[in-house]
Amino acid sequence: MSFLIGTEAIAHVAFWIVVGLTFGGAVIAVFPRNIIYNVLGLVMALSGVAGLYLYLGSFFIALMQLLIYVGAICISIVFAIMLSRPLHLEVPKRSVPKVAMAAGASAIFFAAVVGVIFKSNWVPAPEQSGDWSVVTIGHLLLTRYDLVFEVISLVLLVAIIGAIVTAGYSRRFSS
Amino acid sequence: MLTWSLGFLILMVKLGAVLLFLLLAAAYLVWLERKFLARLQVRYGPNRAGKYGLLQPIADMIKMLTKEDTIPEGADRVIFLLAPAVVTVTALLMFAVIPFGGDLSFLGKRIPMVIADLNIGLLFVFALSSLGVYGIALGGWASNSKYSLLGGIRGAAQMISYELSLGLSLVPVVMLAGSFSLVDIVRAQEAYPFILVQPLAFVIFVISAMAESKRIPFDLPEAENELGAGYHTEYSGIRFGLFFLGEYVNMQVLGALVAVLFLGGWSGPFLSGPAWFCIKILVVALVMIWIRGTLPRLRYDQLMALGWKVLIPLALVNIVVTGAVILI
Amino acid sequence: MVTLNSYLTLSAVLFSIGAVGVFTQRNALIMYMCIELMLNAVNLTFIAFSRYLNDLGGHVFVFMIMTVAAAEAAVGLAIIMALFRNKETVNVDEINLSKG
Repeated sequence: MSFLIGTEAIAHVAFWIVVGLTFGGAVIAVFPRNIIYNVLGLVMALSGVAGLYLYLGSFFIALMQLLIYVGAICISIVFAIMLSRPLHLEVPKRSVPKVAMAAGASAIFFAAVVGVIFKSNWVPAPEQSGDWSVVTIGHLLLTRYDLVFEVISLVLLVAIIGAIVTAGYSRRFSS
Repeated sequence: MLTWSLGFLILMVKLGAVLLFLLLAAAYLVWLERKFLARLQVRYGPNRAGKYGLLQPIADMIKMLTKEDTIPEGADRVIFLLAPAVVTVTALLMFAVIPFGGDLSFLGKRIPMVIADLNIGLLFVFALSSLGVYGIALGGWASNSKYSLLGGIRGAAQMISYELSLGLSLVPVVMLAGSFSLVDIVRAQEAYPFILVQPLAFVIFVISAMAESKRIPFDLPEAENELGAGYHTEYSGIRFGLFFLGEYVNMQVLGALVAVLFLGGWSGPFLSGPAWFCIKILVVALVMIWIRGTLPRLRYDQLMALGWKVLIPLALVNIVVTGAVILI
Repeated sequence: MVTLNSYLTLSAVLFSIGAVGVFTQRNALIMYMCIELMLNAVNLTFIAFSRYLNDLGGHVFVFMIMTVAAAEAAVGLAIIMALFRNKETVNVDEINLSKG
C-alpha cells in the first residue's frame, strides 16, 4: 500500500512541477525586455500546458500541443526574430501607471472569472467512458464534426495563400 | 506491490540498457565513420590507439571531457549552456518508443522490448524531432558570433522545411499499418516489408531524414568552408561533445526509424530480433556514410527547391495514390 | 485530488497573465505571443470540461483552435515581417500607416 501512496505522491509532485512550469513560463513570456527570453518563456508555458493535458489523460492533444505550438509556432517566432533582428531595436520605456492599470484590469477580470467558477454548480457527466483514443477523435472529426474539419482545411488553405502573398508583396515594396 | 516494484525494476533495467547501448554505439559509429570514410578516400583512418584504432573513441572522449569549457564574451550564458543538452536529450528520448525486438518472456511475464509502447509513438518521435531545432537555433544565436548565427538560421530553416516532407512521407505507412504505434507498424510488416510497396515514401523519408540530421549533402548549417563550424563554432570541450553525440544518436534514430518503418523492424530469418534490428541500423548508417563520401554539398537554393518543390508535392501525390489504392 | 475548479482557476490565471502582457507590451511580436498564451488558457478549459462532461467535442474544438493558431502564426508573422521591412519597427504605437 505504501508504494501506491508513493506513486500518488509522485503524480502530485509532478502536477505541481507542471503548474510551476506553466506559470513561470507565462511570467517570463510577458515581463522580460529581451525578446528571446519572452519566446523561451512561451515555450516553457506551452510545454507546461502540454503536461497538464497529459495529467488530464489526453495524450494525443498533449503531443499535438508540443508538435504545433512548441515545434512549429514558437520555432517560426524564433526564426522571425533572428531574421528581422528586432532584438537590437530600442524598447520603449514602460510607464508605471499604464502597467498598474493593466494589472488592475486583469485582476478585476480574474476575480470575476474565479467568482463565476466557484459560484457555479458544475454537474459532472453521469458516467466516465474510457474511450479517448485517436481513433475515436478521428471518427468524430469525419462524422459528427466534419464541418469543423472542412473549415480547418479552408482556413489553412487561405492562410497559406495569404502568407505567401504578404511575404511576396513586402519584398516588392522594400526593394 | 511486488508486481509494481518488479515493473519499476524492469523499466529501470530497460532504460539503462538502451542508454548504454546508444552511447557505446554512438562512440563506435564515430570510429566506423572515420575508418570507412578513410577507406573510401584511400587513407588509413585512425590506426594509432589500439588495434585498428579501436581505442580511438575512448581517447576522444577523454580529450573532450578534459578540455576547457569556454564561454565567448557577449554570449548569453544560460542559453549558451543549455542548447547542446537540448540537442542530445531530444535525440536520446526518441528511443523511448522504438522497439528493439519482439516480446521477451522472463519469470513467466511477457516483457516487450520497448521502453514505452505508445499508441501514438510516431507522433512522439515527430514532436521530439521538432524540439531538436531549438538546440541548433538557440545555440547559434546565443554564441554571439556571425558564423554561429548564420548556421543557426540555416539549421532552423532547413529543419522546418524538411520536417514537412518527413511527416508527409510517413502518412502512407501509417495508412497501411492502421496505427501510429511503432510496434504495430512492425507487426503489420510480417508478410513483406513496406519498402516493397512504398519505395517512393522510403526515398522521400531517407532524403528528408538526412536533411534533418544535417549530414553531408545537407550540412549547410555547419558548412566548414563557409561558416567555420556553423552553429557550434564557439563551443568547446564537453558542450561540443554533446552536439557531436547528438548528431550520432540522431544517425542511430534515423537508422532505427528506417528499419522499423520500412525494413520490417526486428523480423528476419535465423538470427534473433535485436540482432536483426542492429544489423539494419548498421546498414542504414553505412549507406549514410557512403553517401557522405560520395555527394557534394547542396547550395542553399537547391536545398529549399528540393524540399518544397520536389519532396513535398511527391509526398502528397503518394498519399493520394496510396489512399486510392487502399479504397479500391 | 485535482478538481475541475482548480483547472479552471489555473487557466484563469494563465489568461490574466496573457492579458497583462497584451496591455503592457508594445512590441507586436510579444503581443502576439501573449495572445497565444491566452488561447492556450482557453484550450485548457476546453480539455478540462471535455473530461468533466465526458464529451469529445472539447477535444475537437481544441484541435480547431490549434490549427487556427498555426494559420494565425503564418499570416501574423508574415504581416509583422512586412511591417518591419517597410517601417523598421515592430512597435504598434508607431505603426499608423492608415492614418491620412
